[in-house]
Amino acid sequence: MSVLKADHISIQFGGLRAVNDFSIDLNLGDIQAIIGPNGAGKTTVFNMLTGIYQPTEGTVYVNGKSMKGCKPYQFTAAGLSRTFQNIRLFNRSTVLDNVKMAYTFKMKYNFWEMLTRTGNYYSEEKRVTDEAMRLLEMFDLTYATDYFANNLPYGEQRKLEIVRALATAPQALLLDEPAAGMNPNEIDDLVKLIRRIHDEMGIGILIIEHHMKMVMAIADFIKVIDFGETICEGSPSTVQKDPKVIEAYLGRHANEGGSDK
Amino acid sequence: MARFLQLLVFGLQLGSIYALLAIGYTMVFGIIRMINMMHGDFLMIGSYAVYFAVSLLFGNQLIGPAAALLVLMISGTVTGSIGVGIERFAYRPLRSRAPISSMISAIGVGLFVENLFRIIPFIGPNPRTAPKLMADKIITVGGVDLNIVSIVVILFSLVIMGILYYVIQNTKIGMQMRAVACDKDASALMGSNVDNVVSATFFIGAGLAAISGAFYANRYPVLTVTMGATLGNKAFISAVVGGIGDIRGAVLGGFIMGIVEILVSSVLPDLAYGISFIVLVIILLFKPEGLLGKPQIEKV
Amino acid sequence: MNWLKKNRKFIIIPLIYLLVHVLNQAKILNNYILQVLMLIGINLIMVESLNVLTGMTGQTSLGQAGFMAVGAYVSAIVTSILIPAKNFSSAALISFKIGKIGFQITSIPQNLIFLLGTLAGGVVAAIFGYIIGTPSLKLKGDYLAIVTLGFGEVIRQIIRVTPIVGKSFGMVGIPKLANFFWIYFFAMLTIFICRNFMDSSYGRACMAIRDNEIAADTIGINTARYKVIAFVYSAFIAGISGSMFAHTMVYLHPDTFAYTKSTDYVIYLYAGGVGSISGSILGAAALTALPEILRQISNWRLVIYGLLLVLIILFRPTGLFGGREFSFLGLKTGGIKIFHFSDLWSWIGKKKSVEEAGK
Repeated sequence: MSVLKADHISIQFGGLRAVNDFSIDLNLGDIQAIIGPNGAGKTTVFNMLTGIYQPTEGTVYVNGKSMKGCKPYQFTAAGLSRTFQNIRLFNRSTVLDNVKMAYTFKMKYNFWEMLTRTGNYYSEEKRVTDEAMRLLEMFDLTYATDYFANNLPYGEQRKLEIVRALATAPQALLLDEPAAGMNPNEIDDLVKLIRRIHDEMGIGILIIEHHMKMVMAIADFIKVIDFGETICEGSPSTVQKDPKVIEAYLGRHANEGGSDK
Repeated sequence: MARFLQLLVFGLQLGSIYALLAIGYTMVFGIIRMINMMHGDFLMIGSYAVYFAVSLLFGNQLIGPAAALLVLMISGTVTGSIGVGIERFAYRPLRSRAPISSMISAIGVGLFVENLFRIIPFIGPNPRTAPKLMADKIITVGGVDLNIVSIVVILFSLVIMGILYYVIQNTKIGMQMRAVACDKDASALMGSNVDNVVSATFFIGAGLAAISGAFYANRYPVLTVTMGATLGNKAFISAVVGGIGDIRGAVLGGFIMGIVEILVSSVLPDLAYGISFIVLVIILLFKPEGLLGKPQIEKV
Repeated sequence: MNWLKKNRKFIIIPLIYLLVHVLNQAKILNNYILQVLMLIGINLIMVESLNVLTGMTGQTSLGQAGFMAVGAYVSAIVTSILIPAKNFSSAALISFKIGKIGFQITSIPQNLIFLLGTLAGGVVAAIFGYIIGTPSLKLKGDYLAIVTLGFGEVIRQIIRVTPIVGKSFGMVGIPKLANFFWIYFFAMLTIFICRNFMDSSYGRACMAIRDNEIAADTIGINTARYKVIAFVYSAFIAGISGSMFAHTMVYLHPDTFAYTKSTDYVIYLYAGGVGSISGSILGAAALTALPEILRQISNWRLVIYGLLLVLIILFRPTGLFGGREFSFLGLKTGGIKIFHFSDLWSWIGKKKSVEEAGK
């Protein structure tokens, strides 16, 4: 079942066409990846897919629902969740609160019940705390529930961001360069983590990544973009062999030089 | 029509006072992104400096243009140095913290300065009469009576602003100021001494406020320790209307506010003070970054 | 017993009121100190209101005195013009004495009018909060601060030209309906509803917006909605405080609500510790009392106040209370350092034992 679909989306900033004619179809259980050199427009694609930018042409569908003119929080409510390249945690709140914040739009008590603390308030708070704790437990973060988010080590902050994204119970999870700044060991752990999310939750995962080895190991479908254009798509082995991809990554001359040898 | 032109000149005169003061707000904001809430007090310090310079050097008489220029320079230097000192002790330690911290610190400094001046016996709580730096002389141009002082104040302010603009665009310290305004850390890595640049900014800002104070006192010769607060507000609004962080914006905003205030108060005196805020709110709702400001975009 | 321990705040809080009342009646606490305590209560409500907007939601407001002014004037209109309280008997309903200590329940109709006026003040201030909050959504940080400052001043200008509230001459003849009981009651109520707000999905949404607005948006928080909620809620509380102010001071002047009053509240908030409810209580109490304490050295009062302000900001970045919360608020969301009053006893005890050991 398609959870995230983009139909020929393009975006223009002033005169610059940052992304042109991008399409994607992410199903439950898929792991797809978008790769491309720096400045190719990957994050712009992500921002369009999550509602931060409105595409100038084309439409994004989440769970079959057209998201034209919707704000990011509506994308999340429709079943989409994302992380950021530069980690965006709520630094002045605790780890537990970071996760609980992701339940906001599902809370079932109103303003008045909150002010007067009715039974409904207590039961909802308990339910959310329990669910958040269960998620933290699942990802071995219970030791840190009371830490402020910015006191976590870097790798754990990335993990927390993913946990927070999962707390919104998404059908599609979008990860923006999750391995950025990680060492090889941490990347191995991350690969295992993503596999686990995939296996246990069965949701669709879309990754932007620079780290080639990781992408090849994890994704079953890859799209390569350069200068905002989709230059190649297919399975990891197809993409790896495509001359246009090699050119985009290493430059035309490198390609020619390579053929000399 | 003659009345209108007369009001326009008055507006421009008041506008140049606002503009000179607004430049200080805008430069400080542009460089360290801080709203220096006590900047108006520099105007007060400057006009008192003029008062004391005149009474010590010339015995409180009407003085000629050369002496007036000397007095302006003394007042500007003294106030500028005080500005540098205040920055050094009250704002510099807070530079790495949220901008609101330095703003609160500025409010504290403002309270301190105003009330310290109030209890110093020879400055005192009672208003003092400012000396006239230039005699009023009415000339008639094409049927319009104009005060020569207004013309001098406007022209002199424009010259100062021209010099400042040249300094910022073409000298080394000006280039450093622009660099620090863009990116404090990067310009430090490129060899700018950020502390010196900020000190220079405060010196210029406070110095211009002092000159503005001298002009203001020449027009409305009553000195009180709290005179800076209201003027500071209006100048601040001018800076915001013009686009805070941009010197040309401060000048434009200052002139607009001066003219609007004079014109409106000649029709509706009740609104003289309120009008500046109304202009402010209108501008901010439709062009929040001010007339010449550039919008800020947060990158995701 | 367990129940008693859990809910002892409901016993201690009225006891504190009784203590103040008894001390006042026994002439140990004179009326001047009572007046200062009332002022602290009024300022405390204001600082909590600002704490909701600035401390929790991260929306800097330099126009909070504008909301206070709306609350003050609207409530004053209700109690002195619409339903003039002076037309009703002010005779106390019940009045009795235990020894020298007098107790009384004041006139019910007057109190009802006062509550009605307060509610009206809060509601109209909340409407202003909505009017100002909605266009301010587009603005961030410094610009928002400037716009709120502008709006606050515009409100004051409107009051200055409104004939019914005495234009720039000020409004007179407001009945003195507020007393220590009501101010104490509303201050405590404010503390608890702000605590409830902070420790709920509403408060968490606001704090998420404060910490990272884009991330808040992508985890499903309708940022515009919660910002408006924060504005309206904060303005409502400020309006309540305004009503208390009007009915304590009996006289209102538009210049009382100049932007300097707004900046005062920002100062109280940051001095006490931004984002912490207990910090705002302490900031309001300490900085309201400070100028009164310094009144003996009248001339130097504001000089020292200004200097202390700079020193607090320079040397106590997290505010006087360092981001702690009082234990009675029951804010058990981790990370926050909890201040137990028993700590104070043990701390005093420790000091004593050290002194005794010295001897």
